[in-house]
Amino acid sequence: MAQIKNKPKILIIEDEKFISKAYQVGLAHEGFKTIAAYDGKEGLAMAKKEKPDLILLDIIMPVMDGLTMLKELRGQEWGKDMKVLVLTNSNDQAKTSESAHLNAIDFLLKSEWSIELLTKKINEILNIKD
Amino acid sequence: MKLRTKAVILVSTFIFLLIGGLLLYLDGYLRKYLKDQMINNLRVMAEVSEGTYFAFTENEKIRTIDWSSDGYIRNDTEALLEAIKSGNAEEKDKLTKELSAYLRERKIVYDPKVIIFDILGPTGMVIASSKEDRIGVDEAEEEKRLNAHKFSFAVKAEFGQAFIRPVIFEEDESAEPMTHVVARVFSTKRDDLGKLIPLDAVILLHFTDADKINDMLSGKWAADQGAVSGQALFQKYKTAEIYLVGEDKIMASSSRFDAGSILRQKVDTVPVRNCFENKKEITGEYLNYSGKPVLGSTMCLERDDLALILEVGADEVLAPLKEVSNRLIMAGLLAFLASALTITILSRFLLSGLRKIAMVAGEVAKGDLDIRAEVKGKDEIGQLAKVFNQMLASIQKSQADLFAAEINLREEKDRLNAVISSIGEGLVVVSADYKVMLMNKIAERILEVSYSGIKDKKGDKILTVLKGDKILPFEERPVVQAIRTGKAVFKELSDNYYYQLLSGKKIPVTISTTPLKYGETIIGAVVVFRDITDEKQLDDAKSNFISIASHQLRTPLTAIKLFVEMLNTGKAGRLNKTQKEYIEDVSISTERMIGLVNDLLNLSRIESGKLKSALMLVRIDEVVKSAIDEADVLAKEKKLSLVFKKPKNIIQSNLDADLFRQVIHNLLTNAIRYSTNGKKNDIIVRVEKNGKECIVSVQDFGIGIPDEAKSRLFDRFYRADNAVKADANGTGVGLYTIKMLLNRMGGKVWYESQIGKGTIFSVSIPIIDKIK
Repeated sequence: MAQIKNKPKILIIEDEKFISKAYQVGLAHEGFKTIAAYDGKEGLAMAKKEKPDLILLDIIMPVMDGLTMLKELRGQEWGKDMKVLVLTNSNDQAKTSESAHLNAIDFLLKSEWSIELLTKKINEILNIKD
Repeated sequence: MKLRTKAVILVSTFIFLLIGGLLLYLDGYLRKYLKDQMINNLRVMAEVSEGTYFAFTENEKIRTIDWSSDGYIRNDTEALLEAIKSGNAEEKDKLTKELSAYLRERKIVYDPKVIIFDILGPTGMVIASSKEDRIGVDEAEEEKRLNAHKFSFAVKAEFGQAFIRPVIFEEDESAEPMTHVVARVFSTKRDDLGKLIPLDAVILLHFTDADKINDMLSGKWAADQGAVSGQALFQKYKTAEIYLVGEDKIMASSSRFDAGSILRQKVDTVPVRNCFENKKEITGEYLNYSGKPVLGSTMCLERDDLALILEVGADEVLAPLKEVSNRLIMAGLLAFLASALTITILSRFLLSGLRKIAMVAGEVAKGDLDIRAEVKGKDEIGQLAKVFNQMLASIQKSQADLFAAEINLREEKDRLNAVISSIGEGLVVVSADYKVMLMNKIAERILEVSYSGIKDKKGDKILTVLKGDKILPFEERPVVQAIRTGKAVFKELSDNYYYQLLSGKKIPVTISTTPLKYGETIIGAVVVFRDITDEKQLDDAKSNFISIASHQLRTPLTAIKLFVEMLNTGKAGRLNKTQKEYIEDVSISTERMIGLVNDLLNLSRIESGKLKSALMLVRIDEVVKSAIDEADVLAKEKKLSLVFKKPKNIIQSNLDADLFRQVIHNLLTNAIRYSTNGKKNDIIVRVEKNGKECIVSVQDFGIGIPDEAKSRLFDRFYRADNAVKADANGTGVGLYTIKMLLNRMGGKVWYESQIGKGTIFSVSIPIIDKIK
């Protein structure tokens, strides 16, 4: 791990507990500090409080879905430039383009992405070299 | 007008003109002939009369010369001239008395025509006279003043010459007009040469003979003398006249009709003028002194300054012509009437056949087709009747055929109506100006209208067409586009069309609009539509299912995938060999499951038409390159290298890059999957332009495709036997997806293959320069 002292903080907003757990465990192994929220509303509150370096955002969620959360986030002064990577299993084209409008970094199909690949992607995003 | 009447009028007119022309010609010819004849006769008679006149005057001259040669007169005159010359008055008086008595008593008594006998002296003075009071009269002066005689000629004349001056009127001499004749007096002695010695004296005889001249000219004199005839002209022609005219254009003999006309009647006519002014004798037709048209002939008696004129009234000369004309007209009229009658009768007989045909035609016009024209005979009319009857028969047959055809047509129409009304879909026919012309029951029911209520109304008065939530402008409606472009327009379920009715009800529909053509002209369109409310619901459910399934299937698979990975990578502690082997198997199965889910979802989206095309101008080589880059990892795993043969020129087209990349991706994954590690480990990708198409081919040197797979190769889920053996992980949807996607993009796919040697898959897509 290159930068143990100053671990990047990743907020995982994912209603599916197993997947959330896998990300938390996997990414922690890869040297990230992970925090988790299980719906959009919770995620929004946590993002405000924790100011993560990156948010991994699911789309289909109870209480508040991912796109609504992203919209609200972008409406906040503190959240308008926050890095967000959308990770979902719904490949709805309309939602893809909407999230692009809301300045999401990318729109990834969860089932296609292993922890290993995801780590690489996150490192790219956060400009971290192995 | 009847044909018969026309024929009669025509022929009668022809005959009338013919006869009329003939009559006019004859009339003109006869008129000219008669005139010429008459004029020639007149000229002959005029010449005869001229001879008569000269003969008559010659007679008077002879009388004068005879008396001038009287010995007593010659001797006494000579003596008297001597006495006057010598101035012996006594002798002169004696001789004058003696001579005058001789003239009075011994001369004029023997010729009653001579009323005065003068002897004129050398100066023209009367020196002796039968009428003694005339002695001393200056006749030279009278010659000068009145041209009463020709003393001046006579006083210088030779013996035997006499000079005549006819038709002189001198009141002091006689109440009647006279003729003066002069002749020189010669001595009884002869000169040395034996010639008569002329005296300077002249005798002047006054003849009262005007009546005689008239009688001579008219032939009366001859009759008086006992001639059997002589006045033929005057007897035949009541208007015939012969008279003399003096230089002063006054009549010099009396008119036949007016005895007192002599020396009174002015005659200033064409022949008189010609005679005295041009010295020309004329013969012809002109107006006489009383303005009546006459035929006449003139003789100019230049010696005596007279014109002799013979005239006959033109009317009288041409009178016989009138009679001839009358007879001719009568004959013509008779001929005309006879021929008119003949043609009338003939035409009635000839045209009776035509009349019958006309009558039959009238009956036919009223609707009786059974009637026939009964005309016999082999002439043209008989032929006509025959043809007419044949025509009637033919019409009768045609009518029967027509009637049968009409029944057929009606049955056909009923059948068609039955078909139209039993079609399970709404059917509306609109005219080229978008008015409703026909509508079946289903259409009435779906659109909630009645045909009778909306007939001839334009479509936009009945419903609104929507695409999704958007109201279509009139010109974008399928029916309008079909009529304007002449091409069929189809709107399927995925096109999301709705009819919004007047009630506001919104019905999802599929629409098929076909232009209706008559030859090359578009006369309307047929619209067939279906209420797809049920399908729509099913489709929505299906979409939801896909959406839900994609999410719900993937979620647990993702969790499995992630935990397997963590086990595999030792994040949950080290695994022993067997565990590791098993977990590897789980990983592979999971990946396969994920791939399967992806393929199925993809497929279902393509099939449902939910896939949205986003056409953009892209470089095809770049799209292919990105697919190659994507597949490169996979290729490397199998130690294969992807070789890209770039096109010479940039190829650009408007297409959906994602869909096209998917096509190339599938080709590449297949090529990688079925390549064998043998001599050649390349996969060659070519991009070429071929006219209006772009062809991309992917060549591998793998297992090849068996012939028996050919017919089913592009079927859904089909996999060839050798493919299953080579790689169990395939799903059998790759080529099917390629085919479906190319169908959408207007492209094609084909291949060449040899078992064990490899395969070339090629796809073509149209190059679209502009987005329509």
